[in-house]
Amino acid sequence: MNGQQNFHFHSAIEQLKETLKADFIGLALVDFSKYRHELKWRYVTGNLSLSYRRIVLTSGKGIAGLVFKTGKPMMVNDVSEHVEAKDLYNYPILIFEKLKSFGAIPLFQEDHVQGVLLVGYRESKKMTAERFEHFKQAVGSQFGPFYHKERMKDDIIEQ
Amino acid sequence: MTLSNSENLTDLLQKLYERTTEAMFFFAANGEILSMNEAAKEIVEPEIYEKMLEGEANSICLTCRGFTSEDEQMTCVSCFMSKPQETLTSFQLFLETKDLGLQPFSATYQVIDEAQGTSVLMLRNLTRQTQTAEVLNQKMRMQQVIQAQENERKRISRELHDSVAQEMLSSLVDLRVLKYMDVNDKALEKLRQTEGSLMRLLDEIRHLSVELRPAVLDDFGLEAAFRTHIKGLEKNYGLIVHLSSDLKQKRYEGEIETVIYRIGQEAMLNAMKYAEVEEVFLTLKDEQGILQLEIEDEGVGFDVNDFAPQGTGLGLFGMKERVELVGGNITIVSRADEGTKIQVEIPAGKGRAASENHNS
Repeated sequence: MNGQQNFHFHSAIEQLKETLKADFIGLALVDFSKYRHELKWRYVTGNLSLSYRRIVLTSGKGIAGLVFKTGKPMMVNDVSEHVEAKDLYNYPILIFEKLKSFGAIPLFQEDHVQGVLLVGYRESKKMTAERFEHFKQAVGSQFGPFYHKERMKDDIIEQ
Repeated sequence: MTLSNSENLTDLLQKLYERTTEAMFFFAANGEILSMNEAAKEIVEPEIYEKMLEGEANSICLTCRGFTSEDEQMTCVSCFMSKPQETLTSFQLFLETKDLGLQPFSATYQVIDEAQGTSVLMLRNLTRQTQTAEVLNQKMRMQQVIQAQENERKRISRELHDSVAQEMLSSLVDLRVLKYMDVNDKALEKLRQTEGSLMRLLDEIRHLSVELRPAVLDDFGLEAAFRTHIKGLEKNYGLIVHLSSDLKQKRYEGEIETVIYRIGQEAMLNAMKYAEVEEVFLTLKDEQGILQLEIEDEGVGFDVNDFAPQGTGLGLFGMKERVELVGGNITIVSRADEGTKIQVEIPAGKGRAASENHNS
């Protein structure tokens, strides 16, 4: 995680929260030191509890894990409509923070997903396609060296 | 009172005919219905009843859907009416009944007058018995399925662990050897990446093997297996499970350990899915040879008596089946807003030595 500490992620997400009038923002970062890459919610704002700290995701698990694995953004306009109640447990962050609508994007550095940024609302249908676009535009250099929202070269996919 | 010559006999028979709950049909040689009693009228559709009264030949076929043979549940092959001498006197018959649709009956068919070919068909409703038999059948099948599933999981898990993972490990070693050979920096970098992804793949396979059936359950017993599982739950789903156990290193028969482990797993999953809680309490106890498992949450609960499952409802059913397999019992206590408590008791006899192999 070289150089990550040099950036003020906290103020970056606070600012983003203002801009998007979001209820919750979380930034999950990847711990590459382990062979089995692990994602944790390192920076959050607007959280209801500290439960998010317990979540440790591997590739493909949870929202951060899915975005990390696919390298694709993910948007859910209405959680109760798109996620069945009995499957909700797969996304603990939604339960802990009572999110009803959210969008998440991968943050790249040199073609590797370094982090996952989640913007959530506690009311359904708040994350519209329009707002999601706005969200993607609003993410910029304040997120340090890995603000690229797309892979540079799609043909060399390592992860 | 002499039996056969009783003056009352006609009267008695008349009463039997009128009052019995057994449906009776009398047939002439051509299949025309000579007479049928009240009970018969009860089960036949009014329209068909009219036709039967008109004396149409073989009008019983309008309501009959065939009898149960060794080959088919409902068949008309070698019908009892056409070949009475080849038919067993008692068999199972299906009729399309009034209001209730298709129903099974226990039937007796006898020729009572050889010369004129008069015969009688008597029917008793079997629905209740058939249902009982079906439930029993389903239970037995369920137990077989559970056992088959467990054995198959064990086999695949072992296969992954012992052969696939081993094979991969040896190629990993080969790859590491390659690093110390004369290769340039670019190749070395690529080698490192490949090594990394192989390592992750190996980890992934081990993980899969554990999810199918944790080797730690076979090797170190219940407490260790639960601790491993709980760690995973906390990481992936943020669920906190408070485990208290006085089993220590004690081992039980493989089958019992499997049942306890699977029920614990299922109960924790249920709590996570439906109870809306972040904490679950799991207790393992051994009291006088009875192995006890208790899973408790303080979540939303449900009404045990009036229970409309949100999921498939198979989970709870499966738990019961599993417990019955090893002769234990399970109690589920739950009320809306008062949480859920699942208690399992299994007579376990003596604990077994840890080294004993019980996997076969």
